Amino acid sequence: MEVILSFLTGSLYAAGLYLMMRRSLFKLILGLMLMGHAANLLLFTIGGLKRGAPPFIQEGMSRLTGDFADPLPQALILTAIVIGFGLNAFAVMLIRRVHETTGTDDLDEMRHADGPIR
Amino acid sequence: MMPVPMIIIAPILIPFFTALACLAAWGRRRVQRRICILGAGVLCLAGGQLFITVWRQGVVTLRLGNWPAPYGIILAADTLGASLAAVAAVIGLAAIVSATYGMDRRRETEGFYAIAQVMLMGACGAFLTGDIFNLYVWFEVLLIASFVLLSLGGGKAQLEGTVKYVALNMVASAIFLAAVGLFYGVVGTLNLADAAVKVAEVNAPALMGAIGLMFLLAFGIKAAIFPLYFWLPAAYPTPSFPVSALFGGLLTKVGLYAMIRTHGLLFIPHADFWGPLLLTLAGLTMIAGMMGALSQRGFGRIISFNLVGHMGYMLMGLGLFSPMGLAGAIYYMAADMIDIATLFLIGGAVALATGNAGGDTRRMGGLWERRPFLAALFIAPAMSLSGLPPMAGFWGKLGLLRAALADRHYWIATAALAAAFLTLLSMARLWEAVFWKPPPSERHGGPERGPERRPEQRPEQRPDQNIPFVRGYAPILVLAGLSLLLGLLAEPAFQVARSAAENIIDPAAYIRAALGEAP
Repeated sequence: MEVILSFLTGSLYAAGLYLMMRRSLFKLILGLMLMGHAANLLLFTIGGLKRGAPPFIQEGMSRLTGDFADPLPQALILTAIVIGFGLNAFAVMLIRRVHETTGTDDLDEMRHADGPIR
Repeated sequence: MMPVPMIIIAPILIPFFTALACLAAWGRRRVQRRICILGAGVLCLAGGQLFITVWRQGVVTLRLGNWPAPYGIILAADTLGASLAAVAAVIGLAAIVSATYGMDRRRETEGFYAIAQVMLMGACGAFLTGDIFNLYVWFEVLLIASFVLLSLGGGKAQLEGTVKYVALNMVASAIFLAAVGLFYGVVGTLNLADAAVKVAEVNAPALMGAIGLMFLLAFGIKAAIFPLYFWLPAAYPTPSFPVSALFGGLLTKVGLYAMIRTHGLLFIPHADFWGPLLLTLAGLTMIAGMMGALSQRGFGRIISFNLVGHMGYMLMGLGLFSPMGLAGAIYYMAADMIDIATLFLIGGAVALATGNAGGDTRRMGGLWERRPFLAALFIAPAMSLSGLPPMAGFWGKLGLLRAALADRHYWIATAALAAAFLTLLSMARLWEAVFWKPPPSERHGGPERGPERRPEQRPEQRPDQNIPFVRGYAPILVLAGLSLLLGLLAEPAFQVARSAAENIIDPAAYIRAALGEAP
C-alpha cells in the first residue's frame, strides 16, 4: 500500500508542477490544488499505514501498548485540508477577478506589476 | 507551581477580538478606526509587558488545553519571539494609524482594519509558538490575511501582483507542509523543544539535510532570499502604502524568524554544509537586491529591492551561527522591520504630496522646500538602512561584520560592506530624486525621459494633498524615533539580542521551559 501511495504522491506532484508551468491562470490554480493534495497524501503515507489498530487504550490499562495507528498525521491532514480549502476558495475568486479586470487568462500578458512604476 | 503567565497569549487574543469587533462594525468607518487603533495600542502594551516578563523570568510557556508538553501544542516566548512580537505590534499600530488618512474610503470600510488585525495575530502567533505544525498554521493565517490585504480594492497591477504572490506562497506552503510531514516521520515529534533533543539521536544525515533544505525553500520564498525574491518587488509596492508598510515590516521577517528558529534549533548544529550554503545565499541576496534597487525608478520598488537586499544581512547572521553573528542578525531584524516600514510610510506620504500615486521618482522633486519636515524624517530610516551611525542599522551591521571577521569569513564581510555602500548610493539617489532636485515644473523641457502615462495608472489622489499632521507624521515620527532610540541605546539592545542569540545556540533553557521540567 505504501508503494502505491508513494507513486500516487509522486504523480500528483508531477501533475501539479506540470500544470503550474503552463501559461494559463486556471491551470496554475489547478496545479496548486494538486500540489496541496500531494502534500496531504505525503503526510498520510509517512505517518505509517496500519490497519485494524485504532489508538484506543485497552480496558484496565493506563496507556497505549503494542502497535497502533498514529492519529497525529491524520489530525494534521484534517487541519491542512481545511486551510487548503480556504486558500483554494480565495484563489478561485481571485482568478475570476483577475480575468474580469485584465480580460486575459495568459500569465505572460500580466506585466503591469513589473513596469517602471511605484 | 508558578501561576501560568497568561500574558503570553495576549498578543494573539487581543488582535483576534479586535478583528471580530471590526467585523461587527462592518461598513462603519469611524467606529472601525477607533476599535482598530485601540486594539493595536493595547497590543503594543501587551507586547511590551510580555517582553518585560520574558526578560525578567526567562522563557515563558503556556500549554494550550493543559496537555503535557510534547503532545499538546505549546506557546513558548523567549527573548527573540517576545521582542519581535513587541516590534511587530508597534509597526502594526503605525500602519493602522497611517491608513486613516492614506487609504481610500472603500478599502478602509471593506475590511482593511479587520484583516490588518488578523495579520498581526498571525505574526504574533508565529513569533510565540513552540510547535512546528502550529507555526505552519500561523503562517497560513498570515498568508490568507496578506492575500486579502494585497488584493483589497484591486486595480490591474495590484491584482497581477497578487496572482504572483498567491501562486508562489501557495507553493511555499505546500513545501512547508510536506517538510513538516517528513520531519514528523523521521523525528517523531512536532514540538520544537522536544525535536531539538531528538534530532541529535536521529542518525540520517542525508534525510535530515533534505528536510532542512525543504524548510529552507519554504521559508526562503517567504523571506525573499536569493534566488526566490523576484515576486516581492512585483507585489509589495502595488497595494496602498499602509499595507506595504505592514508587509515590509512583518511578512519577510516572519519567514526569517522561522528560519532562525527551525534551522538554528534543529538543522545547523547537526550538519556542516549549512554555514557555507547560508552565507553564499546571504551574499547573493545582498548583491542581487541592491543591484535591483539601483536599477529602479519607482519609490516603492526601490524600497522593495532594498528590503530584499537587507534580508541578506539577517541570513548572514544565521549562516555565521556564532553568538555575535546571530545577535547582530536579531538586532538588525528589529531595526530593519522598523526602517522598511518607515520608508514605505514616507513613500506613501510622498505620493500624496506630489499627487503621483505611481511613485515614479522621475516626476518628483523639490519636496525639500514644500515638505521640509517629511524630508527631515526621511533621513532617519535612510541613514539607518545605509548603516550610518548613530542609527540602529549601523550597530547591527557592525555586529555582523565583527562576527564575520572573527570567524575569518572575509568575502561575506566584503559583500556586506559593498551592499551597505550600494544602499547608501540607493538612498542618496532617492533623496536627490524626491527631495533635492528641482520640481518637474521648474525643469527645462519638462521631465526628461518622462514615461508615457498609462491610462490605468492615473493618480488616485489630487496633487499636493495635505497630509494631516498628527495622523500623517506621528506614525513616521514614532518609528523613526524608535530606530534612533534603538541606535542610541545600542548597548542594552545588543545585550537583549545577545541573550536571544545564546538561547538559540544553546537552547537548554528553552527546552527545559518548554518541556515543563523543573528549572
